[in-house]
Amino acid sequence: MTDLAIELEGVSKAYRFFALNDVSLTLPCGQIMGLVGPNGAGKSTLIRILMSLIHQDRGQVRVLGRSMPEEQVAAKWQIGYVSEDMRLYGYGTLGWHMRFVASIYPSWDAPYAQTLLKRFNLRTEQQIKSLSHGERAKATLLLMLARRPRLLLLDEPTTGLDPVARHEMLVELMDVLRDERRAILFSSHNTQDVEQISDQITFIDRGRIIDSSDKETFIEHWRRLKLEVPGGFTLPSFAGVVDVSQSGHIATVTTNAYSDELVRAYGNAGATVHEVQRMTLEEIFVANVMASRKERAS
Amino acid sequence: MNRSVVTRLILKDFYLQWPLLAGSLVLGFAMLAIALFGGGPITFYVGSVSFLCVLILLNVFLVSGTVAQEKKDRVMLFVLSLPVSTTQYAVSKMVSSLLAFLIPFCLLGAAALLVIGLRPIPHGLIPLTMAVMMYVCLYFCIFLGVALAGDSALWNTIVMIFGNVLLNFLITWLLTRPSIALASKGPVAIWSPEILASLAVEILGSVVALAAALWVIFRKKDFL
Repeated sequence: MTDLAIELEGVSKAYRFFALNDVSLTLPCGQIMGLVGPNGAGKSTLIRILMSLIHQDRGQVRVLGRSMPEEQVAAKWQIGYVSEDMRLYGYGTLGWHMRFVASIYPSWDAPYAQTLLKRFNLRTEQQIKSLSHGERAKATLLLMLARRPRLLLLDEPTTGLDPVARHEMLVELMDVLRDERRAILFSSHNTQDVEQISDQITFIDRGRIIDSSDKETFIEHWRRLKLEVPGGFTLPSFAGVVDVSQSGHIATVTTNAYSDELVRAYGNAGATVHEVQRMTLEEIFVANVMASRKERAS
Repeated sequence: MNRSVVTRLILKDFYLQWPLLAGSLVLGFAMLAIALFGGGPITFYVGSVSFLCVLILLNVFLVSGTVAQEKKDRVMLFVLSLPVSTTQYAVSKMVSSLLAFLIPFCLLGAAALLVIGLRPIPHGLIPLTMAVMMYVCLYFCIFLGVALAGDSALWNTIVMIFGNVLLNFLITWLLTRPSIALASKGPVAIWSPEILASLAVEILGSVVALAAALWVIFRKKDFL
């Protein structure tokens, strides 16, 4: 049995106007990874490759030790997949859906399903078409969680949900991780959600992984420095500086490798460091994407 | 283990399709009753044409309502989250749709032959009726194949339009064949070479349409 829930190695998939390029990624069991990227970055494509809904052109994909797409059926017994655009049968009741899924999975946990029904304030006799968007999302999550999957693949599951529904969903996901053999890959362009529940964060943009690390590393290494520089002075470039913007005597430096040495280096170069700001995950994400695009353009 | 999942998918489709099946059977029998008990040539004509409409409606609703709509609404993502491969999903859909079509089709077809047998109608109409009904079957198989193998609403619409229009051409073509037109008024069913050729083309076409769809599905790399 492997300790990795997900292994991607050199995975590529090309379309006419979009390509996923040379993606390599691992997710150990017991971890939550947030996959963050702007719209059209390739998050859904990546997750659909993991589900074998689309097949990679190149590269190796292993999910829970199974090679995909060849062993997709065996892998899917242990995967719970929810996507923002996934729908249930409108004329079926939630109870009918529950009985249908339970009839397939021997691992269906009926008491847990009942607990989730109460927690999400859903009723089995409700027809799916009568549910609100938030209720439908929770119903889909219930149908997936009660199977007790070892790996959860969630493609923007909180999109369009109100803050309360989003909170309920995230709390439930964190609860799943009490079992340390489970893993979650969670895609979103909402950095707040990702920051709240993820151990690891991967940024993706225009079909490429641009950065991947644990949450603390991102928060610790990224800083924004407010500097005052003498007139006519050009700031020197130091390793780890991803962006410099200067207006008159005031300069703002963004770095992904913050250390006290960097502050001293700017001081030695003649600048005065007025402020060192911590960055939110959203700011780190935007700075990361912009730096990556600039690097690729040059 | 997985055969049972595919079976459950087929049973699930049957459960979702039964109102359509029941409705088409009730309507089909009602139209045949009009043709049988109407008493005149006009009611027979109205009943027969309406009966044909019921078969076409069953075809259209079955494919567009369950296969194409399931793709469009992304309900397919829910089904594909279950432990089935994309090809197993497509095969289960093909089997359930075929059964859901063939059961009422065969029952209504048998009832139509019974009506011809019970009424003072020339039995020479039987081969013509069979050729027209088999066309509906061919139309269904092509529509099902295109909806399953393709992802284009445009292609589905094109098949639907051509399927409906070509039925008129087929009936006109059959009735302008002297051997068929003459035989259809006779007291016994005559299986002329032209009728047999039509039936052979329709049966073969149905099989080829489904086989071609499976061939495309098995080679597909992207299912969404």
